Amino acid sequence: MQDTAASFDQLQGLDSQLQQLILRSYIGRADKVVVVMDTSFSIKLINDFGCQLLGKQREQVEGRAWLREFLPKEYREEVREDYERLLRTGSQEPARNEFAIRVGDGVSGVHAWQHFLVKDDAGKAQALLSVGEDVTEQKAVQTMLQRRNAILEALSMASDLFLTATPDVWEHNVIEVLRALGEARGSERVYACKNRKTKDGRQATFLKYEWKVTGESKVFKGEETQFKVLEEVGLGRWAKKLAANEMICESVAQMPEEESAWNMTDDTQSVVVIPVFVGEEWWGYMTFEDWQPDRACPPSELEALKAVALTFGQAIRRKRIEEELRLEKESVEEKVQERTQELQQAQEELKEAMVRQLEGKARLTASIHSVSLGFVVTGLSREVLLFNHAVNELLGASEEGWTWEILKSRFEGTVDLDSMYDECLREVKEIVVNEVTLGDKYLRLNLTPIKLVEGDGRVIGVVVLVTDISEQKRLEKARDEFFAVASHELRTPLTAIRGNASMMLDYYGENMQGTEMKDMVQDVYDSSVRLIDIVNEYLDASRFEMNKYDTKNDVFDILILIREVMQQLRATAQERKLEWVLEVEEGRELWVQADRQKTEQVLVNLLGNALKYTETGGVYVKVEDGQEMGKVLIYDTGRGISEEERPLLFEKFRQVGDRVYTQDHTKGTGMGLYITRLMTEAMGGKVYLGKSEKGKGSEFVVELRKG
Amino acid sequence: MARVLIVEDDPVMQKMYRRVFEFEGFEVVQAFDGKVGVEQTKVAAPDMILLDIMMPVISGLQALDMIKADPMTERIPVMVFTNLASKQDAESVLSKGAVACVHKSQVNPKQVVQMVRDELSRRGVMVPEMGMGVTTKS
Repeated sequence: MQDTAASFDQLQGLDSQLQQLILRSYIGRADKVVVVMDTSFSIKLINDFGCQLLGKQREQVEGRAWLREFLPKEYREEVREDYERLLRTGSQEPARNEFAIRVGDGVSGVHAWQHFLVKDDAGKAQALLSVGEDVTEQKAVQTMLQRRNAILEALSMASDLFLTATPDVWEHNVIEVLRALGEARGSERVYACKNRKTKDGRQATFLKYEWKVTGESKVFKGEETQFKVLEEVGLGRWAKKLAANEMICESVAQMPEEESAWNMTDDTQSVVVIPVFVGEEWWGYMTFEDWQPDRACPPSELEALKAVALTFGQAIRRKRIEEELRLEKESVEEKVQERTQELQQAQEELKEAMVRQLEGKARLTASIHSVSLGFVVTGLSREVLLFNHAVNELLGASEEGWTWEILKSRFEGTVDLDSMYDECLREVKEIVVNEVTLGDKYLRLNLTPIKLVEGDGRVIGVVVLVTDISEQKRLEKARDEFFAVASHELRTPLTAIRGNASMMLDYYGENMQGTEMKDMVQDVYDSSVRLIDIVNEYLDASRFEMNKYDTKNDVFDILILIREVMQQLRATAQERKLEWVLEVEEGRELWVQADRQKTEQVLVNLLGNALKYTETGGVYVKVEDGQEMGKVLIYDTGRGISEEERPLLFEKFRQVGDRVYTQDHTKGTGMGLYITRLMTEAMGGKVYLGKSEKGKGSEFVVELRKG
Repeated sequence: MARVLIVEDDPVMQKMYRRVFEFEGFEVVQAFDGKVGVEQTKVAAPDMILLDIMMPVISGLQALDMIKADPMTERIPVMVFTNLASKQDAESVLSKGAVACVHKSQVNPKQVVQMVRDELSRRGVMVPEMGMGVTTKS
């Protein structure tokens, strides 16, 4: 067209005749439509090409109204305005526009037009010249190039957007890509569907990302969009093709009807569907909906779209890896954090424990130093780990401190510490040696294994305790002396009183018969007997309370003992004219575990009491065999024991009240049952009142462990 | 006449037992400590010895050992009487060869005489009748 313009420019200076000639020859050739009009837009000339295009004879065209008859309505006004402006302004610049002309019943392709003003030599406007060139093809190529360009731009943009997508902008970027592609292609809706498998393994999909030309765009979260099994929504064919990495590029009209049932806009004329793969995995697909008819989709564009899908897949893959990495990192971080916390906690605990231990140690040290016990802690190889000041006081100061050898040497000849130590560890029990003499001191040695309270309870050493029992020994000695003195010194004169009184009665009774004197001597005798009993019982009780009595563990048939005791007391019973019966069949045995002597004393006490307090009837003894205990039942037909007396029956001095205020000043000290109880309990047995009724009798029961 | 040796350091007790045995017609030899007691056992050749435990010079237990260790005296029955009345003591004197262990505070003098009489009768020694000489003394 530049050529045309140039040739016409060259015409400007020539006379009109010549112009006419050149014009005619010029318009005769050319692949352009050349039309010359007068100023009222009637066609003066048209070239052959124009006639061919219009499909008319020259005569049918020349002289006709160009605008009205050959231009489609929509262009007429615009072209008229161009012409009129040229006429009005007399501009040498051509006016340009594009339009199609009416061809028969139809319309030609679009032509690019230039309109020139043709003036005479005087410069007056004589005619208008319009030259049109068919640019349909050019335009199509241009559009195609533009689209391609746009798509390539969108593609590069998509790459950028995908590449730079961090998780927080991912969704935004995907939508941006869809928009860019949609706008580049001129698609009205672009969306991506994501696949998933149903529980029974069928291929389903759901709408995930969507952009529309109207500006709406959306990212569907899992819950918002329901997934569909592709087969069930009529997309079985799509699924097959897409899974095979094939694209679908079809017009809706050609498609089976069911394929547009789900998720397709009604206006859609054609679709391009591109599968998206993430590695080998078919992730889903991108769909471009075109609502305008005849939207071409050349192979190059498809390739570009395919490239976008590829990029998309790679981006998803990267995103997944990043996600995994992030999760892994998070989990690692979490683990690191956990571990750090654990470590911190452990450190805290350790610190606390150390503080506690230090405190404990301080307390322990303070307390072991403050006690008067000698305290030596040794390890398993007899190394002395710890000792207190008292050790120096008790065993004599050692200048080089204390070692096992020094400790041992202090007891040379009295105690073999080594064998005690060995026994202590071997038996894992406390070894005690009482009454070790060291100079003028009496000492007690305890060797105690140190066991770990927590953990496996293994033994980690031995504690040696040294106790000074000198004072205790002195006291014991003093007490023993007192007992000896008391028993001897008191009993001897009492025995003399008793003996002499009894002799007075025995040998001078007849002389005193019927006199006050005999009564008085009798009283002296009775009182002395009672006093002796009291002294004896007090001494017994005191010794018992101080554990002066050892309790033996004899195993014996208690029935033999009962018979013995009953034999001893038979005379008294006969004297008092009482029945004295052992209600046990011949040959019966009842073996018990107890101290035989003490059991004898218990029986003597109980049977003696029964005799003492029974005036008529008798005293009866039975035995019963229990599960673990053997029972001896002693019952009598005596005075019985009142309710009030019962609670204190086996207590010390329980007779005080009775004796002072009520009755019987002559019998017992009140210590008998107390001693009986002490002895029985010391043997692991028990003694109690079975039953009793005032005035009718009592039953006492002794239980002893069976042998 | 049956002769008893009473070994007892307490003069009142000594007197009391001498008296009751004399009342009952026994001949009484007295010793006031263990050492004399052992000597008198050899010198007086008593039919029976009454031996106290707690005594000066040598104790009754030692005296008992010596009497029983001497073939001349070992056959003479010894009745230990004491106020140190633990059962262990009784057992130990019986094991040493005493015929009985009597708790002095628990028996009347006349009962002691009866025990001696019983023991001697068992051994075939002539003993005085019960109650001899009592009324005559008054």
